[in-house]
Amino acid sequence: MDEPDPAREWLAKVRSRGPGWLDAFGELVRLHEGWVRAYLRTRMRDWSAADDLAQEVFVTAFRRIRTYEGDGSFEGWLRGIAHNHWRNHLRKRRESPIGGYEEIQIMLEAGADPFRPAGDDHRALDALRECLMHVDGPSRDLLQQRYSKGLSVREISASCGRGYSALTMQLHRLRESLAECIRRKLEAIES
Amino acid sequence: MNDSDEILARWLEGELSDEESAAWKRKLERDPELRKRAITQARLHGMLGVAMEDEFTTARRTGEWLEKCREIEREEFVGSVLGRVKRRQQGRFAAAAAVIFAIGLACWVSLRPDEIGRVVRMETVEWRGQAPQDFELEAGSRFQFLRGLVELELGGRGRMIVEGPADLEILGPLKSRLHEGRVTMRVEESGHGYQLETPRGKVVDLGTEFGVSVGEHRVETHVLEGAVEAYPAGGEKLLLGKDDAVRFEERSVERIDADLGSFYTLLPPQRAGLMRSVHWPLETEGRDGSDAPEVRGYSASDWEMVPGAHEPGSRPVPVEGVFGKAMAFDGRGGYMASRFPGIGGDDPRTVCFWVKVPDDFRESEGFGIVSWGNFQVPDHGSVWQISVNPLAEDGPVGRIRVGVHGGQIVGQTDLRDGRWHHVAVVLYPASRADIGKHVLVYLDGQLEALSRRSLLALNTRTDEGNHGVWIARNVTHDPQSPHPLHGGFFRGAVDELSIFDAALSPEEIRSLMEINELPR
Repeated sequence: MDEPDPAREWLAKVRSRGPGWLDAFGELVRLHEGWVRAYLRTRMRDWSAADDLAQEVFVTAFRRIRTYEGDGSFEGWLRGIAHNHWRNHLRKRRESPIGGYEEIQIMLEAGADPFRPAGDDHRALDALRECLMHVDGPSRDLLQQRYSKGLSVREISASCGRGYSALTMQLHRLRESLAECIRRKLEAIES
Repeated sequence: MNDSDEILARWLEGELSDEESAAWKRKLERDPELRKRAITQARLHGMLGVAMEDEFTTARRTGEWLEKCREIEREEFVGSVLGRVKRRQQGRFAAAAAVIFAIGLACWVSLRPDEIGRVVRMETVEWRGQAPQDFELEAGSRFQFLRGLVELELGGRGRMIVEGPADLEILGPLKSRLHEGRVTMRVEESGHGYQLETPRGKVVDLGTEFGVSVGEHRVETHVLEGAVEAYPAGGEKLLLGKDDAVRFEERSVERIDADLGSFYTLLPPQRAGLMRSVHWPLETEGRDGSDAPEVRGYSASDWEMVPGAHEPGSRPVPVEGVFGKAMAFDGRGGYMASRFPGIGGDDPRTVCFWVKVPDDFRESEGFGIVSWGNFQVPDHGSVWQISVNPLAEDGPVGRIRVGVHGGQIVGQTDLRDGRWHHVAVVLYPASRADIGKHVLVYLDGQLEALSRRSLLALNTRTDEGNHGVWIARNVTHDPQSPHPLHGGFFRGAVDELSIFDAALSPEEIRSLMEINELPR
């Protein structure tokens, strides 16, 4: 898929190592960091470790930028680096229990990504941000507490007095409806 | 929600036991439709944490990543220069020169000094040991002081106000360690990501104004504006937004109510232009024992301080003061009154006087050394009164108390010793309206530790009052229905009362205290 124009210019500047190439690399990092982190957070239980790994992804990209030929998409190239880092991370910590989060993720990895056929990771994240603009009230508060403040469902339950199961169920339904919203937006872009 | 959905949701939350996880895995292996739903939920779970992150956190993180890339670039640059110089070297001398050149280049590139900041202001600081010789900040600079306030400018990255007793160590351009004391930080964009370490964890700025206090057993972080990340030692990150606060203790982390008034967010502004003032020397040389004031900047001329008494008290009597005569009040009904209405609203002000509190002080004799305003129940903040605290529930008894009806600030030094003490109370605006007005109290020229740093409800009513400034009379006292415990009159002696419509500097206060000279 073609990069948007500014991204293509940044990429050209970075590959040529001409004046301002470091700043251009910074713009590429800002453009892609969100979906790279989301990609790793999806696959790892420890989000702090996932963000650290995302930094490694960009450091590797920085070191190897000359090897990027430009024939495939930059996002695909970056996703390959992220995937390799994730696999190496799993190899290093083989102690995770049978049926643990990462092990199940390895199994799920074989399945089709629900959004990628219709768009790339970057667009899926942008679509989610748009969908979130239509969520307000208690649903918004719950998402805010769980995903912005980083509270666990048990902590939210303790602070607001609502049952753990009810909150988990509400979050599940919110994720389902947001996934549907993303699909619709990606399909609209495709069509 | 069916069973599978519930297990799926609990799996995402990391709540499944080992047995449940193994069973869940088997279930997924058998059911492709369930796998599809699990992938979708996991994708959303991972994306939501990123999509809902605030822009400051994202900007700080990418800034750190790019700094890492720049470091790599510097290292590679130095390495390539060294390689080229080596290739061209002729003999051992050239090799040595190349190495020295490379080391120098590496030092210049990676260690060139990055301006950390400097001390821009100090207010009555009493250093613990020797005062620092250099007020330019560098890694390793340490500020240890017993009392006072120090303001640091952090090389364009922000400002820090440190309140003593404090021990602050500067670790680098974006990092410092608070061993003890209270700090308020206002961070600019270039300082986002600033880390303040404490003995019980650290706080990372995300573009904000926040306060941190480090005591012997606890560390508190209060966010006044923006957001911070707080990391308890050995614990997980907490994101704190505006009006959030957290307390770290040895074995606990507790979210608490933010207290916006517990930190100084600004030091008093430097005064521009003339200030108005009224000074009563309390020499009682006028007719009927009245005291003529020295008035500057105001046009009125009938603001004598006139003695009076309510039954069963007696009129105040002249006694030996710090500068000439002073007035002694009986705590039973004696007081003095002036038509000067005082400073109204929440305007800046400074009130200075000498006070002598008897060592046999009784708790019904504390209210109202100096007061003004129109007391209206339940109009909180409508009066302004400086007292000797008589109420144990508000703080230690016998300490200076600044009250506005509905809020009070209490000091720490016991005044009940039968000696003269110089008191200066300074009121000035905080960095934001919702923090209220900051109060500084100088006792004998030294900054006094206070129970709070600002007053919220403050709107001194001077417009409709039937009295002006009072000495030794409780502004909330109603002779028709006196409060059974609070008392209506102050017992003790007062000398050299001055009221200014601006915040005085510590030097001006000290000058007033030492030579009784009014600043202009």
